[in-house]
Amino acid sequence: MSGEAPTSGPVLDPPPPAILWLLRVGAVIALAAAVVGTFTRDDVSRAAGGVAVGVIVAVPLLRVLLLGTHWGRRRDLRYAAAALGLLAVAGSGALLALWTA
Amino acid sequence: MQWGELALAFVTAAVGSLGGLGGAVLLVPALVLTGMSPRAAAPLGLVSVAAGSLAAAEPQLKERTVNHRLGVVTELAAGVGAVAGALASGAASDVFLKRFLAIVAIAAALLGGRRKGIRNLPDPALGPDDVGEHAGSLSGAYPLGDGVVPYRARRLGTGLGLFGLSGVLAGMAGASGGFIKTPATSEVMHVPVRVAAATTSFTIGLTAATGLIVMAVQGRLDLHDCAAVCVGSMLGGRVGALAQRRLSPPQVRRFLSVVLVIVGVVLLVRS
Repeated sequence: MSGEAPTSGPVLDPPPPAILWLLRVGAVIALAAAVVGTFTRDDVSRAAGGVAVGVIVAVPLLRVLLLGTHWGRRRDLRYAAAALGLLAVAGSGALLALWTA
Repeated sequence: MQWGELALAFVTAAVGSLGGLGGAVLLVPALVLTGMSPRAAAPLGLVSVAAGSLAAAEPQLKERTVNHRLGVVTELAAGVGAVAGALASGAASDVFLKRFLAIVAIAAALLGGRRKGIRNLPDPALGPDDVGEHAGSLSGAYPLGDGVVPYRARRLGTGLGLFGLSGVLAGMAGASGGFIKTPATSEVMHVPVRVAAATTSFTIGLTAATGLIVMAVQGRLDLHDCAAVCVGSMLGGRVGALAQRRLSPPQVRRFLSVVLVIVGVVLLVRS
């Protein structure tokens, strides 16, 4: 993996638009659920808090998955592989921690 | 209703997003000072990091200051280091780790604080259409005032080595390591500090998400407290990201240096 720019000159590659929607929708749902969870009690609070935590956990993982897919489609294979490797490391880290807990 | 936790989360997430550090390293000690056990405070720290990262993500993405390729590559090195660190946990004492991390934070503060001016200058040949990250490389351009500044990650081997080391330390100490990642990206890899901070905000959200999965399965999440911290952190994260846009790189670097010194002192006191 190199930090050097391509010899043909740099080509801009913005992230896929789906990421912006993912972040926007995720932030709205997480904030709404967290507000409900903060101002209610008992089961409603726990359910809403669970939704908020679920969203803030899922969004960054989905973001990397979308990036890896986008880079793969653009034949930017080194970075697509790095994205998949990162998801694998995150998954194996979680499994390892659970196993050793 | 947990007003204290919400307010603390707001302040620490705003500071964390502004400097790309994540707020947990400040929030967790603050919660412990209010009487919460470290075991209960740790998951709330991760919620704060993940929520602050999500809230800061949209403005940073729109401004095109996040370099996703750089984030994924460096986080891969840090992730492998973190797994190795988790396996080696117990090889060094908590006191040693906290003191070592404190020294690293203070050294990073001095390194960034003593540098004057701006390393990467605007290129008059570039316009707004040139802003963003480049395909196939760890380079790009970001907006600074009325100009556009090109950059390229340098000393990749050294940088990845430091990220791996930060991952090992983070895995051993249970920290997200954002306060090492941003200065390493900025001062070692010569990536502009605003790009470094935005990119680190992206990657520490991923680190926190992984940690939260583990803690959820372990039944360590108090979802009512998590909701309050999530609200405070999302609002604080958004405020920090918007404030970052208005500050010049030297201002962000000075702010980062001050916060890193505070982090270092907090770690020393906790050790």
